[in-house]
Amino acid sequence: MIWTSAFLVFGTLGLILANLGAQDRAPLLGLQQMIHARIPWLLLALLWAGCALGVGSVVRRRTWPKVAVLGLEGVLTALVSWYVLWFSFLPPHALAVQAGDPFPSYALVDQEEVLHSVEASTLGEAALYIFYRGDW
Amino acid sequence: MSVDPPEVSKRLAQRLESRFIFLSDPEGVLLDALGIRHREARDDGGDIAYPATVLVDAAGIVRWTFQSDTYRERARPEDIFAAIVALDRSS
Repeated sequence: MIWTSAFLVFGTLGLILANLGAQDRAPLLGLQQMIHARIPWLLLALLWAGCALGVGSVVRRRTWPKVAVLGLEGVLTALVSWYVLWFSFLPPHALAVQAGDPFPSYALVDQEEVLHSVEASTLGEAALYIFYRGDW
Repeated sequence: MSVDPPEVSKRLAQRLESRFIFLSDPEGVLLDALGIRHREARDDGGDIAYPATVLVDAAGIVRWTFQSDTYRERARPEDIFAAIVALDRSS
């Protein structure tokens, strides 16, 4: 049972890492949830189920290797749970424009120092604005 | 759109081999107009944008928006394309 437990927990963590490294790949078993779900419940359920199996296994017969595996699973599961349920949440905020509102006017330069304004950029042509947190 | 200066955006665009326009708003003027300034959120204490996606039509009117209450979550490409198709059909 400890092997099933380890397979669930480390397999799920592996899928998360594989998906983070390939965000544009087709969703793998729906586990690309880290960037597409507000709370990735499926990932959490797999991790928690794995840990529960591990606890069951250790309770039935305690050996030190099993305890060590369970300990590692517990720490990693706790870290992922803390990150997706608490740390990655933003303070409350609301976009000031909704469908039907005019987009605010601006005059900003792009990466080639070319000046853009809402008048020049969007009148006559639709535009998709993606606000991201920056490159670091 | 980010608060990165043009030279940082230029490096990013080159690394991604992207031909999109990377607008630079170091003062956060547009962030304030849209209510998406996340104060002191960068490692060095600078302000950055809350993630958001806004589709604007040819008349400068907002037609579709996406925002998330976590910084992990992004608009799904299929949702963005669906909004663009809907915009295309209505115009």
